[in-house]
Amino acid sequence: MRRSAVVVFLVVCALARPLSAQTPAPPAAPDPQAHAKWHGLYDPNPQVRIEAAQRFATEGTTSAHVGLVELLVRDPDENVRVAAAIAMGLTRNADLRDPLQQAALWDGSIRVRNAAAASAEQLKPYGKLPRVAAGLALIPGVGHLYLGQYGKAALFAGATIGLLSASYALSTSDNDAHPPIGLVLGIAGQNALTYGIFDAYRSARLQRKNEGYEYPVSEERFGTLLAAPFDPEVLASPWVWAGTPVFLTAGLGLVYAVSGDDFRSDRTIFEPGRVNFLGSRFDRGTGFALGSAYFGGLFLPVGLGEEALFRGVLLPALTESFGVGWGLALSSALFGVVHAPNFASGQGYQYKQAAFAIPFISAGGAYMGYVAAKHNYTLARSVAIHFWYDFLLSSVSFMMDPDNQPFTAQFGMPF
Amino acid sequence: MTVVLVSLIAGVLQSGCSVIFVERAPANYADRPSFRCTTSHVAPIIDSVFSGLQLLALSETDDKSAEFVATAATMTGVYVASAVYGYWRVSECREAQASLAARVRDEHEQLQRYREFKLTPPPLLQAPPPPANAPAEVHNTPSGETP
Repeated sequence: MRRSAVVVFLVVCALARPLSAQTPAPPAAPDPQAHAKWHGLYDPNPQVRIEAAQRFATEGTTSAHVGLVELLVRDPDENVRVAAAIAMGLTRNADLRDPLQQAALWDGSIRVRNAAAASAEQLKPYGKLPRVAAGLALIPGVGHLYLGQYGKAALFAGATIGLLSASYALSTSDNDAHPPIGLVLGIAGQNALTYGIFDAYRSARLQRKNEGYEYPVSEERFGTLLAAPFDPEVLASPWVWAGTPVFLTAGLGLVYAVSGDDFRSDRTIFEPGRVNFLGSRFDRGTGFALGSAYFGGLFLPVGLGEEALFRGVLLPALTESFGVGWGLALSSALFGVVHAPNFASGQGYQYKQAAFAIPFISAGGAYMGYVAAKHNYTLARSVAIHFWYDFLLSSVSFMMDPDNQPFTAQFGMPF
Repeated sequence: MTVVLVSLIAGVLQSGCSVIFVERAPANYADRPSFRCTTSHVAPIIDSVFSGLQLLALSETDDKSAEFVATAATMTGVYVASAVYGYWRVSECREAQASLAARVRDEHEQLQRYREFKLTPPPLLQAPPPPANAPAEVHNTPSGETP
């Protein structure tokens, strides 16, 4: 018995010798910094690995994120994988969505699958580009669809298309009272579109907590901006109560200097006669009140929509690309240039007026852009300035020439 | 006002869109574990197409007034500048993304080595080989006989 045991031992040793000769060489030494980077990743104690996952989430380095993927994919302990999935959701790294989605589908533990699915959803906004959202929002609602905001997509698409369709129907109506109302609805529709572009852009930025951006973007709500021209706190700002009259005076002076004929009409509102409002005749007071209400309805969406686009999207976007000075200059220049078609008329293009007016409108844009940038890129003040400038300019033109309304939208240089 | 806004939207749709819609790579992309920027050439291509069309219109129109030529030439310049900017930023973004991908790959490789190092059990302990000039060892058999 003892002898046979020795024989078996020798046979095993003989067989084992060639096997041991084939044993792979010990693994190459890792990067000297590896232990510091991934400390705790392969610790036998699961609690230490959980703490490593939590640490990786806050480190914000490529190696930490690679370590998190390692824990999620390879760790044998369910609690560690859950911790890794939760930690990955905090990284703001959209590239981690792929492993999370895989884990949400295939991990053997329901807890891990749930945690991974939640974290993948949490990281979704970080994969969306705000400028792409803005570009897509040129087609009403599509920018919000891109962001997964289906309710808002329906709202913006419905509002824009509905208002523009109603405007078209009224503008082509045979009833003389309808086209002026169609104009108001058309302006509202177009500004619903520009506001939609702004909302898509800022939503994309806010969803990702402004990650990767140096300058803030307006977080003001629609109602706040709509009420801004009547908000005492906004009106109390010297930028508004002092800046608006200065620009209004300059605008009126420029209109008078460049096209003084606009100030010469058959009669002013102070001379005898009634005011024609949508085909009905009213006394001076009532007519002026109705005309003012019309301008209020016309210019409130203009102030809101144009400020949202130029100071809410273009100013911050161009500032991020080119710096504060160039961002302000370019967005203001664009603001002036897009008003160029205002000077096309039945008699051809008014080059002389445009040559003076476009720089003036750009200067107005620069002022409003400066005010917005100075106040952390908020829009309330610039919306108020814009509205009151347009409203007052049109009201002055209304008083000067009450018989040629509601075409005062074409009068002078409203911006 | 209607004309202004329609022109604005048409203008943005057809021209200069690179400056507005191309998202550049962040300045500190080398330190970031992840970022997004525009890798598509769609915007600068649109700018290029419309700068070409603008030039074509300029060459074929009968209106050779100074105002028209100045306006058209300025617009062409704007489109071209926007296209150049777009190509530049997209190329920069692609380089940055490639650099990020290389960095992630490198980290994965390092982690793989680290994993092997940490998780491979150490080989069985063996006696170190004897030095060359060492005297031959004499093993005694249990019975006391020398082999």
